[in-house]
Amino acid sequence: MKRPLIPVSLVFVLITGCSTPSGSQQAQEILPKPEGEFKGKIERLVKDSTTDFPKGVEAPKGAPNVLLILTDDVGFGAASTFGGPIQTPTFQRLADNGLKYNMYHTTALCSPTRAALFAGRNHHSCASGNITEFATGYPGYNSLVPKSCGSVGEVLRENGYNTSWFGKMHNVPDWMSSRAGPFDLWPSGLGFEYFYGFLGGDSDQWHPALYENTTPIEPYLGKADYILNDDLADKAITWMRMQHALAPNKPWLLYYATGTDHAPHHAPKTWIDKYKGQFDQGWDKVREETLARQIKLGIVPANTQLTKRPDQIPAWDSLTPDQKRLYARMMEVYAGALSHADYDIGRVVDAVQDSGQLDNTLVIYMMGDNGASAEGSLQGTTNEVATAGNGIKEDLSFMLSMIDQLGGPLGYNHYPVGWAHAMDTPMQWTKQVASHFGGTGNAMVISWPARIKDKGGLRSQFSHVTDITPTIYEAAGIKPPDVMDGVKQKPLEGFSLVYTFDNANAPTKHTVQYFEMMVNRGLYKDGWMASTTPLRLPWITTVGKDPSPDDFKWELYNVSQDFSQANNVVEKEPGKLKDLQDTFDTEAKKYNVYPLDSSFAARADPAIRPSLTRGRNEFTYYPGMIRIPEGSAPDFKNKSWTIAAEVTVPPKGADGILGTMGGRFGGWGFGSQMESPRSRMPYPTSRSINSRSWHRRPFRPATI
Amino acid sequence: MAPQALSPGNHIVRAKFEYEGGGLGKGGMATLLVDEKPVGQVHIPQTVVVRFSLDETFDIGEDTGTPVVEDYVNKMPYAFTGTLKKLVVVLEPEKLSDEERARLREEAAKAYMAAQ
Repeated sequence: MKRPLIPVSLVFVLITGCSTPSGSQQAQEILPKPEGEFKGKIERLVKDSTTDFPKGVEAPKGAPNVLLILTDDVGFGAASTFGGPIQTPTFQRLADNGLKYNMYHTTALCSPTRAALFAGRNHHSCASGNITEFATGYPGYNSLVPKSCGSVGEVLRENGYNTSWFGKMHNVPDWMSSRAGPFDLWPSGLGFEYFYGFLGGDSDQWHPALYENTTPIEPYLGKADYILNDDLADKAITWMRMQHALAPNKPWLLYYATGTDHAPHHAPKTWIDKYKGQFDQGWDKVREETLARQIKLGIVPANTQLTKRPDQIPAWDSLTPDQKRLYARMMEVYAGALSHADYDIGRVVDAVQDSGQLDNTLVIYMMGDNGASAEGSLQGTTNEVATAGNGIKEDLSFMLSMIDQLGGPLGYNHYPVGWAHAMDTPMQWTKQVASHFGGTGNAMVISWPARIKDKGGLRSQFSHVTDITPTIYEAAGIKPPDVMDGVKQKPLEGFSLVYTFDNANAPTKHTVQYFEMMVNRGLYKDGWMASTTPLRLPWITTVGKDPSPDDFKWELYNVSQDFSQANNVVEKEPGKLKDLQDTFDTEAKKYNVYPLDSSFAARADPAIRPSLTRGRNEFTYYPGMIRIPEGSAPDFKNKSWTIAAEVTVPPKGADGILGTMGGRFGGWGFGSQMESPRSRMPYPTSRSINSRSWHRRPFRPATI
Repeated sequence: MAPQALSPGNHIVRAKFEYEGGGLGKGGMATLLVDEKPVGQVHIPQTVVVRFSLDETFDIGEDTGTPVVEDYVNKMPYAFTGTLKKLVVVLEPEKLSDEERARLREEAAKAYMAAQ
């Protein structure tokens, strides 16, 4: 019987060998869990032996399912549950059955927030200080989420959960997003056993570029009324039901990230029309109405002030009737899209409830990954690809001619800055502006009926997206790994929110948090917030000289008494500012925030990042090679080129596409129609075209 | 030139675009050749500067997502009904000045920021 003792003593040596400097003898948590020793007996014949079948990993007893929901580009003051003008009955239902968090924060940008969410570390700490298209060669900014920041998906999978991801994934580095991989940073490489969604920031909701795991799929083909939100919910329900039917004792993690309400704002017309006329009063009035509701609902303290609209955003009253008509419709589209997405989320929640699982399901519904997007320009756009993507100007008469197409398959629309600002009520600023809560404040709800008793309660502890993964681990009874896949793990950088479940008045554990996005900086500490004043506004499209990080002025707010950051007290409290600035420096050094980089254009240069195409000028492709991302395809722009196709035409003739880039919002195609080869190359022009089908966008095709 | 039908059999169909330069997004002459004989030509006055799309892709032998022109919207993905053996792309060196290249980076920055 001595044999089993030997490995035990070896394990002991291993533990002491890796003990912490403090001398703790606590065993390290290693994932995947080490294989157990064979505890049976092996003799020459089975009849003399005893078996010991490996048990496999099981989740902790009673571990809840986890439904993680994230909407896109939705500000603090958008959803009705938080006093906003957009009806979100599912969000409300979960809030009534759980807790609302009104001091929850994100990073002010999409990919950074998402990385911080699934990796449980600050965005720079997991290499995601900016979007991958702006990645630079520094540890805080290269967009390669390191293996030392193992994802919640992998940790839960290795602890006996089934895991899945539906919807948006914008954390695959640009140069890894083709079918050549590598796939380490795709959902399947991050521990999510099933992925059904899209890679990238924007997605046409009517024709999304979807993947099922790593295979591109086109589920919209032949379905005129296809829209992604409906499909995502259907697929999430199917997966959850299948999992529960087959393995009812195994908990699941279902991460559901909508493309809504990122541009393009797309929704079924019936949903948009629910909001007809509801925004005719304009963004200034909507802000006032929203704050009044927020105070009435107790979402914000009664003394909360409406922050001043920045001078750079026009007053609603200064607009012409035509502008008002167009912009109000753009807001109706945005509102209809969010309500539609919330409706489909409700179908997923219904399915969880119908299967009897809702009671022990931890639902975390994050309303937005950052503030509302002010990237649609002061007048909005009907085609973001043409305007933001290629600098084309749309005139008002053209935009008005498109008004009935907004939200539909022929629009790639975004709303004006004024609406984004109003969706962040009562805060200052918007997405990208990490210094202020308009960029980082988001509505959030946690529901877990089996555990949370204060149903409908409000929690005001300062919290941050890095708190979500620790919350899941504590709720599930999972110890975060010290080592995963052989890689030493960084400590988690947030604080589980479980301590808030039973105690509305518990002091916040998250007492310090830095914010940084393109050198917009903020530092929260013990009820105070230092905020730089933004120098490059999200909607400014003329790029001048980049400001120096040291050009930024600082503001100071006592946010424990000034919820919306309405009163800058920097003049009165210079000592406090200095303390917060010093703390920013400490945090910045700790989490890879340096070097600060306020450049804009220089960071966009693809030459500073890896590339599949650099240095190549000849490319050979074969049929079936589809869905090659533009960043991994030959760059046809601003140069001469040829495309040659070797074809065999059957006796009856042939037509169809030989090669194409893009689509109706910008692109070219090379193929034959009615047995005649043609090359068609739409290009953007500043004129709106009235001929035939081309009147609906400022693009005109050239046909040979 | 009037549209002509491709005769049954093997062909090389080539589209050649000669960028006239002078800045970003400028025009050029596009020529269509069948078996190396020009069969059509058009001057394209303006071209895309930064991004053809924020989410759509480069596809061979069919068109995923939305159609480039609406003529074939009801035939999507409009896969080629003959046999496509292969498709070869040759890019000529880009001849932008340093100043134009700097402007291109600015335009790219704007495009990427919109697409996050």
